[in-house]
Amino acid sequence: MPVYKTVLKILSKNIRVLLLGFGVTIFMLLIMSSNLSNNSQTLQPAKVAIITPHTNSLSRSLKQYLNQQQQVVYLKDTSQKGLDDALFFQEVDYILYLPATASAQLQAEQKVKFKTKVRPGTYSKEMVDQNINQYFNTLTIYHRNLAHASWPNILEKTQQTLQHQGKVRFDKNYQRHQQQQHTALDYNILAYGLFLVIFEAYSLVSLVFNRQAVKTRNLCSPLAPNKFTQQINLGLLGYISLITAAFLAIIISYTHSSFNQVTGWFIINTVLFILSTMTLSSWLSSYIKKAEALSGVANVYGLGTCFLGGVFIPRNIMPAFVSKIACFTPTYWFVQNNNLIGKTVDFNINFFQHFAPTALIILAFTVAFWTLQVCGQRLSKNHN
Amino acid sequence: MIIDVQNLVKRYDKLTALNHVDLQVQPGEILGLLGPNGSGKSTMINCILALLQYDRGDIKVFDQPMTANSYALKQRIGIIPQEIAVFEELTVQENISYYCGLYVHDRQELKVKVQQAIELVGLEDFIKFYPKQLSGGLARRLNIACGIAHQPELIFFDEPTVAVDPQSRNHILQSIKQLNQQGATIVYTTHYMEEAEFLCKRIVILDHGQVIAQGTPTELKDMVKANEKIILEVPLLTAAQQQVLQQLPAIQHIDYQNQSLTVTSKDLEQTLLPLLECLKQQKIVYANIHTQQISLNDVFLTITGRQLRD
Repeated sequence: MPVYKTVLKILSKNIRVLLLGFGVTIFMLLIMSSNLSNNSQTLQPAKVAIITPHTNSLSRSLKQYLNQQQQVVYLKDTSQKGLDDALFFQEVDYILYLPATASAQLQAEQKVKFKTKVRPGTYSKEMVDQNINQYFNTLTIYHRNLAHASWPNILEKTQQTLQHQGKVRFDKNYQRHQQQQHTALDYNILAYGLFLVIFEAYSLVSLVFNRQAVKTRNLCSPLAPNKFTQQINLGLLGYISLITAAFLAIIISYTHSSFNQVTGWFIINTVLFILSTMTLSSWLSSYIKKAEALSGVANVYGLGTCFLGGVFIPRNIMPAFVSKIACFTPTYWFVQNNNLIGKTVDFNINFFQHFAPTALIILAFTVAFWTLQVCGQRLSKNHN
Repeated sequence: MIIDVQNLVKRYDKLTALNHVDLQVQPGEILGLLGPNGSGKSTMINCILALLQYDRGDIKVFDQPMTANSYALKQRIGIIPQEIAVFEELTVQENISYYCGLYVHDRQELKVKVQQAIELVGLEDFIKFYPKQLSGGLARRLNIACGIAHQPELIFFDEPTVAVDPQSRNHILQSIKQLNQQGATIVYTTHYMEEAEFLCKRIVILDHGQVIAQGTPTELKDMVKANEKIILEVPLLTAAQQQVLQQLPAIQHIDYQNQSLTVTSKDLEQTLLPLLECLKQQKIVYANIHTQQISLNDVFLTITGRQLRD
C-alpha cells in the first residue's frame, strides 16, 4: 500500500496547517461552552420598580409582597429617559406604573388598569405579571368575601396568605432539554471545523498527486488508476476518521453527554455531513492548482456557508433570502437537523419523519458532488 | 524485439505530430532519440507508454501490444521524465521507496532495491534530505533513482541531464552505461549531441514527426562527411591566393574572415597535404592549424538545416 502510506506521510508532514482548523474549532467550542455555562439554571429574582404618584397602604403592601418574591428597587430618576436608561443598563427588569386611583378602584370593585415596561429578553415579565395578578386576585377575593373587614385588615390578610415562599427550579427535563440545545450548537460549530480539516486534507493530497510529472510517472506504474484513487481515499478516510473521533470525543466530554440516543442521532447527522463534505472537498480540490488558493477557498466557503447556514448567528434573526441561499449548501441542512435533535425530547416516529427528509437532502448533496467530480474527470480525460 | 513501432500516426487536430513512424529497439541497446523541440520525440514516447492515444499504427513492447491497461508490461518499464517528478514532502529515501513500492511488494526486496538505487546514483549521503534541499544535479539523480529502483528491463530517459553541472552529468551518464551493462535496454532522448555520441549504440533523428535518419553514430557521420573542415590562422590572404586554394582537390568551400581561413572539404585526407603544399608554394604564413571533425550536431544541421538546441 505505498500510496496509502504516502498519503498519511504527506498529511502528517502538513499536520500544523491541517490542525489549524481543528484548533480554531476547539477554541470556538470552548468560548461557546463557557458562555452557555454562565446561564444559571435557577430562576433569579427580577428587579422590580413601582412607580406611583402617591404612596399609600396599597402601594406599601404590594411593594412588601413583591420584595418577598422578587427584588424591589428604588429609582431616583423616574423621567421617561431615566426609566429607559435603567432598563437598558439592567438596573431594573420590570417597571410597574400603579395609578393613584388604584386603591379606590379596588374598593369600588372596579378593574384597575396597570402600565408596565419590561427589559427585553428576560423571564421577568411572566414572573412578575403572575405575582401581581396573584396579589390583586387574592385582595379582590378577601374584599368581596369579608364585607365588614377594614381595608388595612384586608391588605394584611392578603399579605399573610401570600407569605409562602419557594424557590423556582427548572425541572430535570427542562435542564436536560436546555443542555441538549446547547449541545446542538456545539455540533453546529463542527460544520466549520470539519469542512476546514477535510477540505485542506483533500486539497493537499490532490495538489501533490495531480502534479503533472508525478501523475505521469504514476500512470506509467503497474498500479491501476482506480487502485490509486482507492488507496488515496483510504488514507484520507483514516485521517478524517481520526479527526472526527477527536472532535466527537471533545464535544462529548465537554458537554458531559453520555452515549445515549441523542448522542447517537448527533453522530449520525455528523457522519452524513462528513460524507457530503468529503465529496465536496474531493470535487473542489480537483480545481485547486496552487497551495496559496487553498486557505482562501477554505475560509471563504467554510466561513460563508457557516454564517449563512446559521452556525454562528441564529437563523431566525437573518433575512429570509439568506436562508434561501443557504439551503443550497449541506451546512444549512446539517444545522437544521442538529437543531431538530437539540429540541426533541421524544425520539419517536414523528421526530424521524422530520429528520429523514433533511438527512436525505444531505445525502443528495453527497451524490451531486460525487457526480460533478466524475463528470469533471471524464471531461478532462476526453480533453486530454 | 523490445519495442516495435509500426506506421505510427498521431494527430492533434490539424497538426500531425507523428507521421507514419516506424521504430525498433533491440534488446540491450541504448537508442538515442534526437530531434528539435516539437519534432515528436515526447509524443512518440507517450504513445509507446500508452499515455496518449494514437490515430493509426501498432505498438508492441516485449512483443506484446502496449495499452493503458498493460500492467504486466508496465511492471518491466522504468521512466525518467524531464521534469523532476518527486514528492517535495518526502525525503530522498521515502521518494525512492514510494516509486519502487509501486512495482515491488516484498518488503525485504524493496529495501534492497532502494539501497541499490541510492548507491547507483550516489545519493548515500542525502537519504534524509528533502528534494528542496538538493542541488539541481542531486535532484536529477534522485529523479533517476525513482525511475530505475525497481530494476526495469526497459528504461526511458527523457533529457535527464538538463541544467546539470558537469560532475553530476558525468555521474548520470556513467550510471546509465552501468544500467545498460546490467542488461537494461535504454531509450534516451536528448538535445546534447555529445551525450548521444557517448552513450548510444544507435540513433534515430526525428523531425516534423518523421524519422529522417537513423543508424550508428559513425554511419550518421558518414552520411555528411563532406562537411569536414580545416581551420588555419592566416594573417594575410589575398583574393588571388584564395582563388588558387579553391582549385585544390576535394575542396568545397573556402571562407576567410578575421585572419581565420576555414576550408570545407569532401574528404579531409585528400585535401590536407595538397593544401599545406600549396600554402608553402604561395608563401602564405599560417599558424594554429586544426581540423574540425564531423559531430552529430553537424549531421543534424546538414539533415534538417537547424541547430538541435534552437
